Amino acid sequence: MNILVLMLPLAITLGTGFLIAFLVAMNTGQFDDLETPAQRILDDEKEGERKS
Amino acid sequence: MVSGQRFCCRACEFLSQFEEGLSLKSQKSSTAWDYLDSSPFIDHIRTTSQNQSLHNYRLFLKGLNCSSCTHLLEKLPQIDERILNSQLSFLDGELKLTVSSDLTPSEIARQIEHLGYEPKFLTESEQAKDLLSQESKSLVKKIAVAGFSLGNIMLLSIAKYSGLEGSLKYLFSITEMILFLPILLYAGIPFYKGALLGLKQRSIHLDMVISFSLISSFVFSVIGFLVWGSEMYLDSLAAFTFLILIGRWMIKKAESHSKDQLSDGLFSPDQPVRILEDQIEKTIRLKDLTPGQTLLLGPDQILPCDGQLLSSRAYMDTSFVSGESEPKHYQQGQALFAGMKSLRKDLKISVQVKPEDTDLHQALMESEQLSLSKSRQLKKLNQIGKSILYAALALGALTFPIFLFLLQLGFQESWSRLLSLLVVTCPCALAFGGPLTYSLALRESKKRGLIVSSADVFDRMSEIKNVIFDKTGTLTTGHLKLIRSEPEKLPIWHRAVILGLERSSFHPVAFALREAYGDQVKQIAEVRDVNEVLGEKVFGLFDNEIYSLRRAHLGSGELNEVGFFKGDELLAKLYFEDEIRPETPSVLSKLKSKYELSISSGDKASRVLSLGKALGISPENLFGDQSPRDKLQYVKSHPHAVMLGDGFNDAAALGAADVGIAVAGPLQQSLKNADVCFLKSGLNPLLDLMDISTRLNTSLKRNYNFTIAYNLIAGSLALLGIVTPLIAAIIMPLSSLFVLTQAKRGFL
Amino acid sequence: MNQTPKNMEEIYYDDKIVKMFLIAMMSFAGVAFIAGLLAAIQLAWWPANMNLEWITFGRLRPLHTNAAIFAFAGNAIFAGIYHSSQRLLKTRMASDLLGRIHFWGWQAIILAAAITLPLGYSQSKEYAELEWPIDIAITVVWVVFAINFFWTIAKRREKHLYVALWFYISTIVTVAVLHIVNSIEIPVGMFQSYPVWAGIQDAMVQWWYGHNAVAFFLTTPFLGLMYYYIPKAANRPVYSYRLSIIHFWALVFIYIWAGPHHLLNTALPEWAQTVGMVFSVMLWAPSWGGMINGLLTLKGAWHLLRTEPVIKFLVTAVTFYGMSTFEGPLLSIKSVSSLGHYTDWIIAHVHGGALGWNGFLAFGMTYFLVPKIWRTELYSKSLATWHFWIGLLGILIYYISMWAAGITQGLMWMAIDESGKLVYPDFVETVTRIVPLYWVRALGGLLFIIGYLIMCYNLFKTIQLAPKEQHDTKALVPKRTQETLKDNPADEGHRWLEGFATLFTVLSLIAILVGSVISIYPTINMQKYIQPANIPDPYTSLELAGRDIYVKEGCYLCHSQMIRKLEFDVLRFGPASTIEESMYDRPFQWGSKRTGPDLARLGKKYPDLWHYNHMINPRSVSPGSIMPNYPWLERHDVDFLSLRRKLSVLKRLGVPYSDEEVANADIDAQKEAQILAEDLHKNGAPAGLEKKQITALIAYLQSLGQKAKKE
Repeated sequence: MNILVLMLPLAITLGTGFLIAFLVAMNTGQFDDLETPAQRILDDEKEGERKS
Repeated sequence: MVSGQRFCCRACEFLSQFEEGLSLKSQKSSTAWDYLDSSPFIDHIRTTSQNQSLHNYRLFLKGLNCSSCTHLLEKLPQIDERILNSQLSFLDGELKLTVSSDLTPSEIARQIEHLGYEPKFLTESEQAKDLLSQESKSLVKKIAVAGFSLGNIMLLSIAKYSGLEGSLKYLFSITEMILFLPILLYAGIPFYKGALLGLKQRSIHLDMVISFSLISSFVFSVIGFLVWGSEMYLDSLAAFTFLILIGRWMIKKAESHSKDQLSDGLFSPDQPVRILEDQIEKTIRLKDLTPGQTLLLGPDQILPCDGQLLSSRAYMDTSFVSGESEPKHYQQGQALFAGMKSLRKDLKISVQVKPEDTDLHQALMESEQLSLSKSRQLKKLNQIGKSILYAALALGALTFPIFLFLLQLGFQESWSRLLSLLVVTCPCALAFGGPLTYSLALRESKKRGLIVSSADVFDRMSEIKNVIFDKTGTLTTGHLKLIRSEPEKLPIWHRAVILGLERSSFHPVAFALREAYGDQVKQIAEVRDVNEVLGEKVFGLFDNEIYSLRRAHLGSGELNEVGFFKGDELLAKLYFEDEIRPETPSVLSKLKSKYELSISSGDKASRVLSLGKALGISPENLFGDQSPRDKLQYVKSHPHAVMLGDGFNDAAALGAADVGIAVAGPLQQSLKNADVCFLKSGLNPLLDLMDISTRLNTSLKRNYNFTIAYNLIAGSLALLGIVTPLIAAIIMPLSSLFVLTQAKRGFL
Repeated sequence: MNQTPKNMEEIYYDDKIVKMFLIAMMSFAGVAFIAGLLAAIQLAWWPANMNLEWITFGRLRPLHTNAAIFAFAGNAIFAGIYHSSQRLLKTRMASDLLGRIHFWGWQAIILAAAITLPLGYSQSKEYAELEWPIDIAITVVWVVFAINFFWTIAKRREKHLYVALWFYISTIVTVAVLHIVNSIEIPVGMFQSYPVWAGIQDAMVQWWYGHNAVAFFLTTPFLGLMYYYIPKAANRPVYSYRLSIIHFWALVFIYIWAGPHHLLNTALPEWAQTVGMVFSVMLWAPSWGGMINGLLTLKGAWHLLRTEPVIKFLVTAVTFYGMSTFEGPLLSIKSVSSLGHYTDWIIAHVHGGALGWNGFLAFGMTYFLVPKIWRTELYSKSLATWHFWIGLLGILIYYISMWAAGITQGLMWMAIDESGKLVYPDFVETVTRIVPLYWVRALGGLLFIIGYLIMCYNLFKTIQLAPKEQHDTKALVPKRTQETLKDNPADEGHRWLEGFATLFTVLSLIAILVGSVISIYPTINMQKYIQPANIPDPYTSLELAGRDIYVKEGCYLCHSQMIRKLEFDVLRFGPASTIEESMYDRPFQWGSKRTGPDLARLGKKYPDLWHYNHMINPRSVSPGSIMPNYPWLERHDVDFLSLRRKLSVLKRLGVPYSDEEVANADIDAQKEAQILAEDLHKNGAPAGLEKKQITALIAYLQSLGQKAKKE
């Protein structure tokens, strides 16, 4: 079970990474408006002309 | 426009037009917004970016409907290329724009108006909302960190509880300690701040107990483990911190909702007002309005200051100020007060008192900062709360040596019990349940149109035994109704002439007569040269004779007898009476069972008696012909009384009563003397007030009982060692949450 | 608005890459499904392998699972991510080239899998069977994908990161870590390697990976797709965006410790099992939060469920998600697991999720995307509806038949009479009882495939009738000027990219570094956990050769080697397995399914000849057996020479071989094989078996449970 000597720090590092991502997101205002983004995605885009 | 298509809202309609490439640049110009383009307005609504070429604006929009609105507004850059970025926050209706410097605010406003929304530029001062959300945001971050630490600590602790041994156990324990550091050093900060505040004020504060538990338990856990290999309590502490932080956050959210401003339509300092300066119309900000200036008040606008009427006539809705729903007639030179609304054309008014200096404004501001500390109950609750904390500390200090030395339980067990006791103790009902309940009660009152001057009012309401009513304007509407005439049936042409005389009058008598005769008279007589002497008579020329309606100078002087004269010949006597409010009988019957009711009125005793009898009040409680001093005496001799009356006329009596309620009368006067002012006319608000008081007191009682019971039981169990620190950490926040939900439940 | 406003920019989304992934997905889906159907038929009727080693169950099943997960689900995910991310970020993918490298690299990996797995090149770690060269390729392609993705985030014109993007981010980051850690292995040949982990360590790592492969490959990206495609298809915003944010972060923070629920009642220490159980049960809450959010998005538009096939598929998918995420925690409870583990209930659970949640979501998304992106209408809504009902019927038949089979078999295994004896001592009896249900399951699978074929036809016609001129979608997006750069998106994005790239690199480095160090550590510290008396002898070189054949043929897929501490297991198979017994197994062979009996204590139970006969024709010694014949084991030679390298690697990893043993590995094996082959021949087997694989395999099988140190 000494595998946990690896897994524990790894899992905590991963978790810390996500925690930091959360705090950064909070600070840069990602969670200020939790209503409008749901509507924003429904806007449809127009047809294009360039050949693909 | 796509023919034949119908849209759910303007936004959708616009979007479809937009698909066809319609530009919005061609629109009829309206100059209403031009004032925004110059100082001082523009300075307060615009923020400039660093290189001066871009400007930022924030607008509050009314009229947002659906997600099409979001799409449309966020497409503004495609409509006007000077707009570089447009971002809408749908829920609070805020639009953030980044525009190039050649686009003026007035143009922005026009475009938005054209799209169908009512724009309002936000100034820096109106970003106070942000401060509140900053606090809330900071709490959320701490909760996230605490949650993260908690989750991982629990993971490790469950492993240990499930039988982990050996070097891995050691590793896990060390990891737990490291994981606890973010809580100790970051998430715990709100508690440390509170504790320091308590120290500064030299009073005991719940946060002190929390901080103490947190820090000392951590230290003991670490030392204990490293030195003696004993158990740690970090999982309990982490859970405890996490849950308490959530509780705090919920309270903050609840409180922020109750900060709705009363005065928001009336006294926004940056609101534009029009003045006349050297014959030229100018727009300035409300807060720059000074006495001596000439204010231009448009129709349907509310007067923001006290002033003197410069125009020849004015027709004003004074309901906000005096509670009267019927508009009043004013003449040049008369005083007008803040809160009145102009119903006709533009008026010129000379400013006498600056808006923020008006009594109304001051009264409203005061009533806003309702000081909770005035409440006796709250003070009592506070004391009890502190006592609980003291008791817990004392008990802890006492029992710890007993456990350790007398009962020989060992350091670990003794400390564990002490910790459990400290953690489980929560005067929560009292610490925040009380204030929250009051805040919610006040918010509810505001919603129902009651201005309550202090939270103490609710306390006193619970002790009320008597309800004393004034008659005119309280039990009655204050409106006159024609009840009798001598002769009983006037000849039709008399009635026609009467109506002719009263055709342009706004006197209560005129309304009564119109109500009585309006249907019967097909053709109103053509009375010429009509003249009204306010409060006395109205006369005019008909068929070469002077006809008049005059107060008959009979009786007590109350306006209830009017004589119809041709020249000096009395043609008819008209009797008027005050209409009883429709809800009065039902309201009183509801109150009769619980309280002793009485009427104390300046009106004639006979009328008071007959009214009182009709309402079922016993005769010894009916008093007529009362002077203001009589009323005062009466109130003083009846303790535990609610007095309802007119805020101006009954000022003294209202002030003396335990709870004085101004049902009618000018608002600012009422606020000075009465404890409660009704913004809605009628007596129904009284029932609302009683309902709110009852609910508040029930809620407080419930919380109080719960807190006492909880602390006794949980504390005992903690001392007995049955409640471990982990369990304590879970049930303490649960009790807080219980209190919170109880408080909210009373006032959903 | 014919002219582009000066503040806006005209960009084109890369639709081609989406089309490519969609076509790849639909193509490989066929492979996955057909492989599955064939495997199902083989279980019902063993001759269905047509005596071909390459499509025998042991080699077919990994092909099926890998195709389903990486070829079908993987391509679906990529199609959806590339399509939705561009539109959510309002920018084209950062690099067309990286996108193509990703695409072709991924398909090459699939192709490599399709070739190597039937050939028997397998690591025998579920959903990670692919050997080390392909593991490296996966890492490289994944990094390419990650770079492209995060770079696109950096270049975005929409400041807010929609919740779907958060799900994608967590997928990319976590899958990378999982894959790297689980794939730390030492090559011993061109297509063979040994993991640095062994026995219980390997079990933990494998199921930490395995469960989180399900979590972060089959769940989070699909949740992201759900949060995008359901609103788009129904044209309604998500029911509660706030809830979706909470859903995401709760899931991520509770994350990764559910792995041990695959190892309940095994030799895994009790405390680890408890932890796994608790966290698995906790995971139920955020999962259902997501399900409720997805379903309630349809509030006010339920009529679409009747009329739109796309909505039918998407909503049903979410419902299956709810079912699976309830069943999972249920199965994580120890007592429930004692009934369900190793049975077909687990298969039912997997397929409810894979067919219902992943399959139907992918189908729904594809029905929505294909018309949109080919700028045409769906050829036939009616055909799509038929697909839905036939497919749904198939899934239900599959699930119910396997659930019934699992419960039946589980109960039969558990049955002990009053005298304390097994009611069904003969394992085969519990198998023959459920074979009819295998036929039913095959029918279910067939129906599912029929639905899929209908879809292929429908989409083919749709694309055929689409306009010949195809274009990328044009969009008008805000320009990235100097000012806007400063304010937020790109600048912040720059930090984002750096932040994540750094995090990424650091995590990978940690994993690799620690992994290397740790490969020595366990052997030093194992003593604390291991009871010295129980340390077994390592495998002899011949046994090791045989073991590698066992791994290659995928025997672990039907036979477990982990007797649980449960009365009925012990009664049936012998004393419960200890962690010491598998401590040298690289990779571990605890197994997760018992189509055949557990083999942990097989050694010396039967004579060598029995094993010979059993491998050539199982029914000769075990009537009613559904195990296929393995005649090629008699034909193929053992690779003796590679044994020296193998032992040397194992020695480095801590297995106590002497230097002599390493140097003479091949010779020792040949000697041992000679003895065994002679003995076989004496008893009636053909001559000349000393070089053959079957001999090595028999040596290995006879060693199982026999390795405890002699007193």
